[in-house]
Amino acid sequence: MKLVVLGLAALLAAAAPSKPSAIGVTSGDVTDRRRNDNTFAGLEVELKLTGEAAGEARGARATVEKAVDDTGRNLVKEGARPPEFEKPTGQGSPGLKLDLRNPARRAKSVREISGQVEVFLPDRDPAAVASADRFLSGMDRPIASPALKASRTEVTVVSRKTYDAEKKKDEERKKKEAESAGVAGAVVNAFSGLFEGLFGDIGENDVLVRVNDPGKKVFGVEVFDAAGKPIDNAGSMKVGDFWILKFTEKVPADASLRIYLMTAKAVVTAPFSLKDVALP
Amino acid sequence: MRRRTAPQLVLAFGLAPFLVPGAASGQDLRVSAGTIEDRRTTGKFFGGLEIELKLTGDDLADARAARVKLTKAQDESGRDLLPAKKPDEDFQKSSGRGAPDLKISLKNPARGASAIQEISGEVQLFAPSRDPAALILIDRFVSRMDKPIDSSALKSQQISARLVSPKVYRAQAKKREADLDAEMQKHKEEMKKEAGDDKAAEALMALVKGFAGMMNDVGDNDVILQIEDPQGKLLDVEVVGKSGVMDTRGSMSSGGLKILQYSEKIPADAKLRFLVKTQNAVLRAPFRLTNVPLP
Repeated sequence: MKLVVLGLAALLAAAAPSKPSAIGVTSGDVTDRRRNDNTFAGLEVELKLTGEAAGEARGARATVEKAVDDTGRNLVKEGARPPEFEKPTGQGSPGLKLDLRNPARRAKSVREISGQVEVFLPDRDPAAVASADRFLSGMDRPIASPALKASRTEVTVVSRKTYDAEKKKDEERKKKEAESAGVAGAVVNAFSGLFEGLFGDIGENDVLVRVNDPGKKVFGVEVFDAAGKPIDNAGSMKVGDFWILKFTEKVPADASLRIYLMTAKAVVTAPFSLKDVALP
Repeated sequence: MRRRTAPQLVLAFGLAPFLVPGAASGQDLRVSAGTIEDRRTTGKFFGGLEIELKLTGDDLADARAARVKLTKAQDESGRDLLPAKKPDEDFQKSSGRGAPDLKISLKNPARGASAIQEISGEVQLFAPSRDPAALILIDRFVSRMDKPIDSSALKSQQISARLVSPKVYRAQAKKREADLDAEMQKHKEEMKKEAGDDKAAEALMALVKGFAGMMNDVGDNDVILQIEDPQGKLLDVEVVGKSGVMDTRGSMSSGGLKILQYSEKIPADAKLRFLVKTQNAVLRAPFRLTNVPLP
């Protein structure tokens, strides 16, 4: 009798409609770049996010645990750093790419690629977004927000004067470190100075944000107008602890700042497994 | 397991009877395969096999440019790798003192192919020192502005050229801009249809204007040439000063217009040198590479 009940339960479970998964992946374009000097060679597999939550994703990344071609060759790059979260471009969900080793020339397909995808869905957790209204009037004071406090993150919109002073202090510190590191330090210092000189130019309309984020929780910072519409920026960059949001026009005084935080509830992790991905 | 021999090459020796009459044949030019990239993709763009050809030999000493004309490319499975569309076969100029960079673009070989069975064709070197007619010098060209260059040597190659002073060029540029504006206004509706909407059409027009503007923006020291070369014989034009070819800070070409940009004033006694691809200045060397391993 007990066996019959178990059998019925199994049948019912099999017959019940399966719940669509919130996040899944399918493979997109596959590019096998093969070179006899091995420079920039590798297999790139594009992943497309699927599922009902894909459209809400503000960021995603995929990590590979297993990748093997049909000859049995391991395609996982050893010692690779975990990828950064990708942001969506335009209306779609973020584009993900897996960076693998070249399969064997005689391989016809990748037998298996499995791993996990992490998707940032800030709509799932009210604590994933911290807001600062009329932030331009609160320059040089850390933004007070329970969400930031909970994430042990300090975010401050700084004035140009503060930025310049802190940059100078930082340069002096780096110079001292370079001096103690000898010639190698001097070379590194010269290159970082050159890099910052090229990209670290501040425009008069740019918004400068200092982010103290030891737990790497801050996903992004955006500026919104009074009507709640995002104000398009002309790009952004990070220089040390500073995030520089570039604007071609003056940001209105009543604009607000939104800080997106990767809280545990807002980051959804889903395993994936792709089988028999055809090679070009 | 199969053993593969190293890529072989066959030189030009003894192949002169097959060459174009009047063309010079290479005596010492070797061709070997360098970097090979087989970019295979399920996407629509940038797939293909690219092979760098390395040139060595004494013939390169005088070479200013080179090009390759392929006749056969086949992988070991027998797949023909020659592209369906005839590739750009323009001469590639040498950068600095090294041999000119030559790259050939082919179709992807079969996934399972481990080697290219054969690539053959002809490498052509442009060595102007081999033919006096290939180098045409115009003395004291700075004093010959805004009139056609009178040169029997150029005429015999059916090339005509005119030096335009920056002042006159700028005056003409205003008219060109106005003409372009008028032309774009005339075709605005067509562009809107083509681009899909007003914004895209305006962006496209701004792009066209931007490119045209770049060509119209000339410096006081720039050398501007309007060239007619119906047979495509001209390879390059350069300015020669007392200590050799004067380095430009850039150059632009569009149609028959060529602009050589200079930061400093061109000396009054500088010469203009036209490099012409005459038959005798082009060395031809057939080559054949076999069993080239694929990455």
